[in-house]
This record gives sequence, C-alpha cells and structure tokens, in this order.
Amino acid sequence: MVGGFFQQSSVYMPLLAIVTAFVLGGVVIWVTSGSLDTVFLAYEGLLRGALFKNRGLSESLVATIPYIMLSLGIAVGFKAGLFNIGVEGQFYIGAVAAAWMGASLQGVPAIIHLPLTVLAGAIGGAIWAAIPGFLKARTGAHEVITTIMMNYIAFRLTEFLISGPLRDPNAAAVQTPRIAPGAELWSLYAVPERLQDPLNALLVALIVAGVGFVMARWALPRLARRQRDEGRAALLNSALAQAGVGVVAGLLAFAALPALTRLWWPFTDQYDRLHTGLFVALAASVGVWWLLWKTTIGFELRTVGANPSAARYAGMSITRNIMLGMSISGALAGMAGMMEVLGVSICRCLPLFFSSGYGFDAIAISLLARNDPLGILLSSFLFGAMRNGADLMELTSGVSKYIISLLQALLLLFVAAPPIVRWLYRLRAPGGREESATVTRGWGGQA
Amino acid sequence: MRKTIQSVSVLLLAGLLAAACAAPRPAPTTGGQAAGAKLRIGLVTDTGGVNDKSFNQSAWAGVQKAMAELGAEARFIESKQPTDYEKNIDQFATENYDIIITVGFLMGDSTAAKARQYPNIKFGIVDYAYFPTEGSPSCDQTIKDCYDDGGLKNITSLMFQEDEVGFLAGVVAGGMTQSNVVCSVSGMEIPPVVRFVTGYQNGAKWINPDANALNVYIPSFIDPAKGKETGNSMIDQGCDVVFGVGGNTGNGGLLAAKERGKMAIGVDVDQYETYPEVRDALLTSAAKNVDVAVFDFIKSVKDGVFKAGVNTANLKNGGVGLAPYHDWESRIPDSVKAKVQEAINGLKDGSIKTGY
Repeated sequence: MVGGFFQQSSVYMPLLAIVTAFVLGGVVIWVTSGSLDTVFLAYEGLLRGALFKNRGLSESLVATIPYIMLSLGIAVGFKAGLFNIGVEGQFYIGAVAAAWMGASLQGVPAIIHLPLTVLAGAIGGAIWAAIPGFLKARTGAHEVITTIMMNYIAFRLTEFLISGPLRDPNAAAVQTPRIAPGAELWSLYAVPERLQDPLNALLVALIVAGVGFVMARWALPRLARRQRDEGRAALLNSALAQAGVGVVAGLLAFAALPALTRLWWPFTDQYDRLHTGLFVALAASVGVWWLLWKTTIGFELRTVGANPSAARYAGMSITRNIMLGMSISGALAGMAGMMEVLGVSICRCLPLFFSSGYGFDAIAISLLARNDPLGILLSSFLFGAMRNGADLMELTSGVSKYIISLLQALLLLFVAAPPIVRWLYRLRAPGGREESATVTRGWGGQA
Repeated sequence: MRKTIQSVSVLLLAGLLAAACAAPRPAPTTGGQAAGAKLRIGLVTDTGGVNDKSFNQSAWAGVQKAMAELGAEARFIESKQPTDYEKNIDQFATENYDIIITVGFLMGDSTAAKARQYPNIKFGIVDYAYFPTEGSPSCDQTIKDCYDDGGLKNITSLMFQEDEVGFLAGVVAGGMTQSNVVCSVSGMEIPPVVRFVTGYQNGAKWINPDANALNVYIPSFIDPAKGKETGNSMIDQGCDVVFGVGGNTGNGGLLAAKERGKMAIGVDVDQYETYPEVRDALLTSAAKNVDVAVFDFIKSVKDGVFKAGVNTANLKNGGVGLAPYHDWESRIPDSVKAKVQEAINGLKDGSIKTGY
C-alpha cells in the first residue's frame, strides 16, 4: 500500500515542503553565484559530504543523535501542551552534570559508572526543565518565557562551572577534567574490543535482556488475547514466560551485536566518531512513542495537552502532568548533552561554547515531523545530514554553508503554513479534519 | 497552465527576494583536479570566524597572500563549536588538501589526532605548542620531542611571544594613563591571552610604578556585548586605557573605551585597519603577525623546507610588534615613545623580563 502511504497528508506535505525548499534554495544559489552549474555543484557537494564521502554518513549520524534526543524532548512537551524552548539550556545542564559525574569517580567499571553518568545527565536536564514546569503549574507563568530565560541562566551557569569549580586545573584550556574511561560512550568501532571485558559484556547483556523483557511483557499478552486455547493463553500471560522470552531474545541480540557493529566496518575505520549513543537515540524514539501512545501516563499527558479542562474533569492532575511532561522533555534534552560529552568531544570533557544551537534547530525538526517520534528520526537525519554536508558543499562549490539555514527556514515556513504548499501544487485540503499546525495554545489562560 | 506559470513565477520571485538578502560570496576558484600542481590549502578557524577583526582574520590574510603570491588554492571552514574541529579538519584531509592550518590554542588536541591520522599532510597550528608530557592527549608519550619521535612529524606550531608585545602595550598604557589605572578586557584564560595580559600589566608597572592594572577574563572570544559591559565597569573603576585581548570579546572593550572617551589598545592585528569604528580611541595595537607566520609556513612547504616543531615569533625576529600610533602619533609624548624604544631594546637583549 505504498500509494496509500503517500496519500496521507502527513507524509506528502513534508516531502513537498522539502522539495520546494531545495528548489527555492537552488534558485537562490543560482542568482547569487550567477551560474546554474554552481547549483548542481553545491547540491552534489552537499549530498556527497552528507552521505558518500569517507566518514560522511557517520558524521551525519553523529549530528543526528543530539537532534533526535532534543526534538523528542520538544515533542513530548508539545504533546503535553508545553512549548519547551529551553531544550538548549537543558542540553547544557545535562552535559555539565554528566561531565561532573564522569570525572568525579575514578576506576569504577563501566557497568556502574556509565549508567550513573547517563542518569546524571538525564536528571540534570529534568531538574532544569522541571523548574519552568513548576512555575507554570503553580503560578501560571508561561513556559515559553521562563524556558527562554532559563536558557540564559544555564549558559552562564555552565560558563561559571567550567571556568570555576569544575575546571581541570591541569589543562591549559578552560574545560572540565577528562571523564574516567568507565564513563565513556563507546565508539561503534570499538564495541567488539570493549565487549572483551566481561563486565562490559555483562552491562550490554543486561541492557539488551532488559529491553527484550519489556518487549516480551508488552507483546506476549497481546498474543495471548488472540489465542482460543486457554492453556496457551495462560502460558503466554505468565511472567515466567515473558522473562524467558525476553532473556532469550536479549541473549540472541547480544550475540549478534559484534556482528552488527562489524557490518558498519566497511564504511569506517578507527577514526570514525559514530558512537553507541545512536542505539540510545533509537531506543528513546521508540520509548517516547510507546510512552505517549501505549501507556496511561502518555494518555494523561496527551489529554492534558489537548484539553486541560476535560482532563481536570476526568480527574487528572494538571500540576502533576505539567511537571511530568517538562521533566521527561528535559531528561531527553539532558541526555543529548550527556552523549556529546561522553561520546563526541575529543577531550571527553566539557569545553566552553559547547553547542551551537542544536536545541533551536530541534524545534524546527520537531515541527517538521509533526511531533511524531518516528518521523523525528527521519527529520533529524535530514537536518544532521544537511549540517554535515554543508562543509563539503562550501569547499567544492564556494557556496556559503549558511545557505543551509536558509533551506531550513524555507522548509519550516512550508511546514508551518501548509496552504502555501497546497496552493503551489494545487492540492485540496484533506476533507474532514484539517491537520493542525498549531504548536501551542494561547498564552496563559489554560492550566 | 496559467496556474502553473503563476506558481513558478511566485517561486522565482521568492527565490530572488531571498537571494537579495543572502550576501554574495567570492566565486569559487577553479576546480581542484584540473589545477594539477597547485598547492591546496585548507584553513580551519576557531569559532570566531574569518571576520573576527583580529586573529582568525589575520591567519586567513596570510593564506590569501599565499594564494596570490604562491599560486595556491585555498578554502576555509569556520568552526561552529569545539566538537566540530576534528570534523572540519577531516573535510580538508579527505579532499586531499596538501596543507591544513588550524587557528587557535583550542584546536591543539584535534590537530594532533588528525596529524597522526594523515601523516602525508602538512599541518600548521597557530598558538599551540606540543610539549612532551605524560598523559597529555596530544603528546601522550614520554619522549624527548613529540614532534619528531612522537609521531607529530608533520606539524609546525606557529607560536608568538605575546608577553613581549603585551609588555610594550603596557608601557604605552602606563605612560598615557591619567588616572594611574589601566585595564584589559580579556577572552578565555588560555596561555596566549595570559601572556598578553601578564606582559601588559608588568609593562605598565615598569614605566609607571604607581599604575594599577585591572583585568577580567571572559570565557568567550565571541561575546562583544559582555566585553563592552566589562569594559564599562572597569572604566567606572577609574581605568582610562583599555586593552582588548580576545577577538570579538576584546573588541567590545575597545568600543566601550571609545564611547566613553577613554583610550584603547587593540590586539593581534593593527585594529586601526580592521576596526575603524574605534580609531579615535586607539593608541596602538599589540600585533602578532599571524599572517606573516602563516605565509612563511606555507612558503616553507612549497619550497620543500618544511620542518616540524615550534616556530616562535618574537620582537627580535619581527614576528610581534606594536602597530603604528596613527592618529595618536602627535599626541603621545616623546618621553613615552623613548620609553617604548628602551623597552624594545631591553626585551631584545634580555635585560628586561616580561614576567611571564
């Protein structure tokens, strides 16, 4: 049913927006450079830089990882009716918290240290986001204002921490100390090597088995419901079977892991920076989808987001859900910052001026994907690839890489205003329910 | 059909509008492969970018000179954030550039890692010297000289004795101050900046023992607003000569001095040329000739006399020095100029120490 897939306006509208943006961007390049060849040279460079050059794809993915996490954070907020512009600040706080936790313990094996550091990043971001959440729930202060202000506090606070209490006294540069090896996020290339340490192998086995267990607990009862056979249904429903299936699935996945990472090898070498945070981002995406659409918590969040009055009438706590929505949003953003420190930064530390607007790009990404967790994977990759390919584009064609910002702005414009695209391509608005580009309702008032 | 034409014309119009807003860039030079023996140079700037009116801009000027005089072909990439350094160097390396120049102390580790990865490319790094220290990520073996024995056979460090020219700037400031308070608005506390500031403070005290020297390190090179704010608060504390040390952040300090009718001293390049807005206030600039060092480095590669190791530019070899006084030529008393000359001689023969 490919045709049916493309007939959904949530699929063809972003695609048309992308195409239109690139065509218009091409016109801009054509006019500014005065030659049509430059347009093709530029887009060829962009494509090669983003995908086909040596390490091109993996660098695109390196940029995609924080985009996924941050735009997931924004999406969770949107669904709960919260416009969290503060993900950039939460990203910073998550990074600082992870840098602190990563460096303050030494000689602790990864099986303890890595989860602790990941948790530190998530909690840091969550706390930073919970403050505006609390202010909104208690005083009605609009989160757009408070999160923007919290961003500046976060920037200055991290500057202070990096150049003050957390500064590495032995480094000439202003940065935090290098994190302990136990807290590093492994590069994909190094996974087989890391797994030779039995404790590391145990950590991975536990994670994978845990994921398998959760999946089995979710899938098996659904399977059981379809069974006419009472006995088999009871078996599928038993916790023992669920645990068993989960562990077996986990062990199989674990055994396949080195082979999976080896699959990546033809594209890479030891200098490849792609790290295991990719799996975290993919898992987070599925996790957010599951949380929002398959759990009671997600239902409450979405209800509060869609209609706070109805939610209150139904007995849901607005305060609790706003706090929760913001905290989850912030935790995801904090984990993005954590992964940049643990996986990407060459000093495996936090230097000054860490991010250059990942969090603000993420707002556009989330909008492009219409806050759909799986759509976010695709649009994050689009932005990551553009960001990465832009450098080679500039090298080969001389077109400034800032043209990418123009493309992204056009893209956003077309996504935010579907009538423009519809009018250009003479499409009819889908009958019945109009897909809504509303990102947040009103200023204050509700909640 | 009419509607199609309408749509297309709207698209074109919007494109033209957007194009009018986008600044035109220099057209690309001829394609790489066809050029054959042309030397290809890549420059990776720090977050300041090539229009920072000081340090990165000066490095790019050196590369441009090489393009004109040595027939080289060159491009630059501006780094957006520290995690991009490696990626940006890699862009040039995978495109088979012959020379990669990285600008700034902060790129030390990334440059070392990439130099090890690409032993056939010649690297030049401004402001970072690799010292053989155990456990240092850039020079991780305990060996005599990590340039030759440690695998960094393809890096030349372009270093500057900023303390010497900072000292001279301090002499000018200490000689010109009415309030006996001089100050510096500095960027990140990294060795090149610290050298400038230390020299400046000691220079001011050398000519004027009563002088009080204030300094604030701002953890950024790209924050003119904060530089200006800091400059203003130091002027409030009585400072009447502001030394801006730190790219765009320092420029904010210069602007504060100009607006408040105080004196200012520029850094890295002759800022009379690069930052005309503050000309009225600008006594001089503590210049380090990054452009000359970069050009000489490129030339050494071109001539086949490349040598790994540290190249230090100082007063003696003319690599650093005070810029002309320009508008202040007639207003700076001869006694101060004589003291500056005395300091130059003293620093050259070693009888005066900068205290760094």
